[in-house]
Amino acid sequence: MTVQAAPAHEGFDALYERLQPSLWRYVHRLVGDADVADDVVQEAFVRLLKRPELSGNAARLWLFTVATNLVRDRGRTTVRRRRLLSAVPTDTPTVTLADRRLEREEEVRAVRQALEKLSERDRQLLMMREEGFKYHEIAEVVGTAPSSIGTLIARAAKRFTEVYRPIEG
Amino acid sequence: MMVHLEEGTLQALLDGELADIPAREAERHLSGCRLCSAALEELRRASELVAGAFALLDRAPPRTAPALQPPTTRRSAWSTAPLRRAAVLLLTFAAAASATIPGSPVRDWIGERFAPAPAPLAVDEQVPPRSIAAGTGPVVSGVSVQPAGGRLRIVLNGAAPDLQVRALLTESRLGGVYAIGDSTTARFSTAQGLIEVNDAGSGELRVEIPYSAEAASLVIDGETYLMKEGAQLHLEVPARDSSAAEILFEVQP
Repeated sequence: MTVQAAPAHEGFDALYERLQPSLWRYVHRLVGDADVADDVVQEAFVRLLKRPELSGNAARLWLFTVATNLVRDRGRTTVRRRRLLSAVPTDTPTVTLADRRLEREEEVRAVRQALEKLSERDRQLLMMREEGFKYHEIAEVVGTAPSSIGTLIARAAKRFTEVYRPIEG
Repeated sequence: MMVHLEEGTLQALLDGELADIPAREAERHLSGCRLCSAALEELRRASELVAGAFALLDRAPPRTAPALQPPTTRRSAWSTAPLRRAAVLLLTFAAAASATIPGSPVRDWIGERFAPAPAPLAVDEQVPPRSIAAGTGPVVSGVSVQPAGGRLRIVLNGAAPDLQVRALLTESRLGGVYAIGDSTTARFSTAQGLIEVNDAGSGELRVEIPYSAEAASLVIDGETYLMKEGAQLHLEVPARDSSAAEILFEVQP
């Protein structure tokens, strides 16, 4: 059997099925907290319900813009910073060795600590690029000229490499 | 004097953001300029490091069916809100009156509800894993990689015969595999454009394939199950379920 990519006319449920995983990953990467990611993604989709004229890529960009703004609003509290540093993915204790879990927690903590040293804009630039957005779309969300996105991404990536200390395996 | 390529131009070339003619001009320049080639290589390494580091943060998103419904366009001519409020008030007064009568069920309930709580039991400090709505078990993190040269290859070895695989297309630049439920016995390894999964148990694997990948394949114990060519996924075995951009199938015994 064959599955078509990017269906032309998709309803809300199909849109949700298609976009929820990547939106959730994006928000989770930004905030490091699964509960916050759940809330933000839910809120973004609730708001999308009020914009039935949006579909396809326009809906996708709109959702990411709304989610980014929601994260930004939440991000002004110090609580989020504490969560960002302490949040680690949950593993299954019954099947995972303690060593592996510890190692994974350290890996995640190293990434989070490096991200904390970047500006909010740098984090958004890199994460939106990883989600496959085009420069002109990133520019719209970040609020800058599309022609400067390449330079901004290059500098953000360099800054990340300067502050990131991966855990040696 | 040779004019070198700007950092932003190199990054745009790397991200496939340059139009055909500027891209060709940039590549022509790069073929004769070690300085710019080295700068491009540095940007490439930085991008790969970022992608790899971000992938470490990932875990499978919860698969929740949309509980949200579009707002109805028709409105009832009569609002029921005042009636609902009146009913709540009436019940509250009735309950309060009943609670003053010795031996009444409401009084007994209040006594039980607000009795001193027993001492808390010692709990494991591990946070219980989050469940997904589909009821297939706890979510455990997987791995994701960027396609190499537009190609992504996912290889499963020693998969349980009733392992379910949910394959979907994603806008992300990354391809990923996430183990859910009993499949968390899986061991992951990655290389450029390759994800290898060994010994996945009989739970569910979520396989995410980027739309942007030119080609992708999922090979299970030497058999090709799934191919992405252009904008389409082709499944070589019967599907258990499928939607616009997602296929669910089982590993064949």
